[in-house]
Amino acid sequence: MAFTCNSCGLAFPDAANQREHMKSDWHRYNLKRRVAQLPPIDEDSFVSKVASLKIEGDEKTSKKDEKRRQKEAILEQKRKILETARKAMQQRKDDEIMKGTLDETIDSGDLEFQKEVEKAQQAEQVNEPPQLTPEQQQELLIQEKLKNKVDLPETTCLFCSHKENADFPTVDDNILHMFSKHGLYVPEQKYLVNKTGLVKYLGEKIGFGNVCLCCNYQGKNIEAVREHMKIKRHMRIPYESEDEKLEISEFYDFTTSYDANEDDEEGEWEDIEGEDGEVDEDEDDIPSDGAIIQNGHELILPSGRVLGHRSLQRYYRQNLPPERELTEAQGTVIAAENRNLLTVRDKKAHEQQKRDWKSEIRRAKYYDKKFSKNMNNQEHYRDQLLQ
Amino acid sequence: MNQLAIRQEDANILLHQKNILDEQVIDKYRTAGTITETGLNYAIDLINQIYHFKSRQPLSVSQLCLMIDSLLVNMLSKVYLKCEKSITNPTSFNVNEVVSNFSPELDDSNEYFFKEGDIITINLGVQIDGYNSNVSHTICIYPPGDKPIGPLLGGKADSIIANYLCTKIVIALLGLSMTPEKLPLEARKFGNVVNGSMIKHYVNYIAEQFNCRVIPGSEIRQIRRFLSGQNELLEEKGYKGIKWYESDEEINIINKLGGETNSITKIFGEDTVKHQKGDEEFIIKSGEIYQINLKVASINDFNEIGIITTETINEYTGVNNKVNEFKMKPTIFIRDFIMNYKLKLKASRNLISKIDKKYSVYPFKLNYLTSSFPMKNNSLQEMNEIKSQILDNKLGLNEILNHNLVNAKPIQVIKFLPYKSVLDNHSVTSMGVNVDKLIKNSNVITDKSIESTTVLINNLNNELIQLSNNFEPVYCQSQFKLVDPTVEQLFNSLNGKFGVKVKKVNALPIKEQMDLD
Repeated sequence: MAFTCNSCGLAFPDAANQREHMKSDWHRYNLKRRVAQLPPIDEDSFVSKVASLKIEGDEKTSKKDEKRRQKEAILEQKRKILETARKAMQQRKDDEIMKGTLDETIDSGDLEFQKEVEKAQQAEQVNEPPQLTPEQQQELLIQEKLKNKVDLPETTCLFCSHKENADFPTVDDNILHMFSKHGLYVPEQKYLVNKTGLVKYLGEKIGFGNVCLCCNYQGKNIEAVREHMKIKRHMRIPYESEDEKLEISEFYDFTTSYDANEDDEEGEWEDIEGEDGEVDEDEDDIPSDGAIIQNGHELILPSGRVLGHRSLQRYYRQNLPPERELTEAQGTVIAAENRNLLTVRDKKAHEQQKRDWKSEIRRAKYYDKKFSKNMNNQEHYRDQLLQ
Repeated sequence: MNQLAIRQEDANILLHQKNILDEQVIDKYRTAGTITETGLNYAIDLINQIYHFKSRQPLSVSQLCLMIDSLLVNMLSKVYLKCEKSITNPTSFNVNEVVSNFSPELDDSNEYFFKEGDIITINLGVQIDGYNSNVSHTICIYPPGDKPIGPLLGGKADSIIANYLCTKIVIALLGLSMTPEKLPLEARKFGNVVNGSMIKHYVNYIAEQFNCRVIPGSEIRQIRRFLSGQNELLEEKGYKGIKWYESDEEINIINKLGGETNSITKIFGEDTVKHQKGDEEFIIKSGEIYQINLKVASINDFNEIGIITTETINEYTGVNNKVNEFKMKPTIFIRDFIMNYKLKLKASRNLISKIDKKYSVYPFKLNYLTSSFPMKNNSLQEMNEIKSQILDNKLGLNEILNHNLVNAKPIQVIKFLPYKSVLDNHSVTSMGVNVDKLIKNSNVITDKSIESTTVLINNLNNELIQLSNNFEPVYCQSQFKLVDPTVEQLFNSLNGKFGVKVKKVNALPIKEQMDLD
């Protein structure tokens, strides 16, 4: 038979049946079993399994009902207890009026009753928290925070505790104080248009969010955050990555730094840099100059200069001769050129020439020798000392 | 040295596809032809005014060259604005024995003028988008007057007439290549179609009839886009053409004297022959463009057997300095593009970049590279400006020349080398024959004529288009007569109703202030 199912160990008369089988849940189950290296099961056992699982599911729903019943029972109990308590109190009042003193026994009984009430409440609490959604939790948190909120006006130092009374007449004074005392440097002051907004925003971050300016630390309250920032020297505005820049970008206006016609490209540049943040800048003022065009691994500055990536510097540093660009005329002439500038030396001729050179030298030496011999020739011996 | 190479597909386009004749290409050729014709007309007009009508102050040859070059460049600047255009052949006036490239610069130490009886050849050429037209025409300076008193006689006349007829027969044969069935029976012994050896035979035959010889260096060749034989050093792929060499003449003489070719040592060796003899067996096809550049010299003055050859002139004469000897530095240069060298001097680097930009594959003169060129109104002030600027360019030229990035085009004179002196005992030493010395001591030939023209075999209309040199030769008479039925038949094919149609390109009229069009 051609039509089989290996995972279920079946055979079919035609393709249609096989396909139908392949789509069935039974086959899928067997497939999963096969992956888990378990033997396949037949259809009956699969059906029974499915049936038992269904029952289990039903049981689960009944469990819910049970819980609800239990809860109701607890509530009923509570109500009863409360009722008995009320009765008891009324009785006691009556007794007090009658006796004028409180009996310790009653007190102890009262304590027991109180314990019972607490238990009931606890049971209630145990049941309650899972029902809270994350949103509700957040809301709770926010409410809590709102309770703890400390309003930091823009003229108040962000880092000094309120005991020090660091209030200033203007924002500038405040910023100056924070710079000199805490070392808070406000980046790109040239393009900062909304100083108050920036300080307020930072104040909110510390006072309301209880978050450190620099890292993700979240304190319980404002004092904790301030302490953290002081100890870790986190009293600065991070301004390196794109996200950090974007965070406070609403208080800045860079439009004066780029030319009017390059406004469109600016937006593009921002996007691209997000993808590739590793681009190396050789000049310090580049981040503020917005109109930079990225071209592969190169940045083109508004001035027309091209910055290359540091990783490719070995290629940029090469001193290659400029490529010769041929015009059509030059190309035609070179295409038609048949000259071969590599001259192949004829071996025999070269050897002959070498031999000629050698014999020439030999002849020259021979003549030299003869000449000097003749010059020095003395027919009669003359003693130099007897002259 | 890094060799430049062109991809095969590009080479195919540049060498073949761009050379296929169509309306546009023909129009470019015709425009180039018109400009050369106008330039030639202007040159003849100037000479007439100065030497014949005496209606103008004499101008030196260098000034004349500059004025004509300026006219050519000014005319070129008005046509085909997007194409590469330039002068392909700086205007030169080859006087008497001088055969090529005599085109003095303004700052030359000598000032040259013509005198009565001088035979002058005017050479010039331009290209538009690589399609070029060259022209040479020979004229004679006659005594002042509106017309020559009588015809020119003697060897000069012989050479002029011979050259005129040679050029004419080549044109006729080129025309017959479209209809080879009209070839005379006598001519068919060279083959049933027009080929190189047929042309060479008839040219040599006519020259001999007038007691003339074709000067070595003459050439009839196919020209292609950017390839018109402007650089002699270039060994061209797919070259089609006939060239004349001294060695051919030498073999002829040896055969005539009855000696065996192998036993006598030849002084003009085979190594000077770049292209083998078999190359002359090429067949002329329609759709090709041919440049006819024939130089013919008469040997009337010499009664002995000898070889016509050329001597290259330079500034240095060596120990035997004669006072009146003609010596001159070459002034025309051509870039050899295959050479590559990193130049040391700043001036030479500047110069080579200028050359590459403007005159990359064609010959140029230093004055073309000055800022005042082309002149607008031929004033003395402009000439002085150019003169002062040439000096700056000369500074860088030496280094470029030394490294063969640019080669000078040689100035050559025609010499008659008697064969007796070759066989003479004194001339043969253990080192062989010192040919240069022999040539130096032999006599010059002044009876010469140079004619060149560019002819287009237009396969679209089955006609010839003669781009340049539609001038009749000067008034002259020869004692010789051409009596040959075959040659006559060939000439008649140019005139007859059913013969070869030859279209000519006419010159534009020139006004004095060079107002063109």
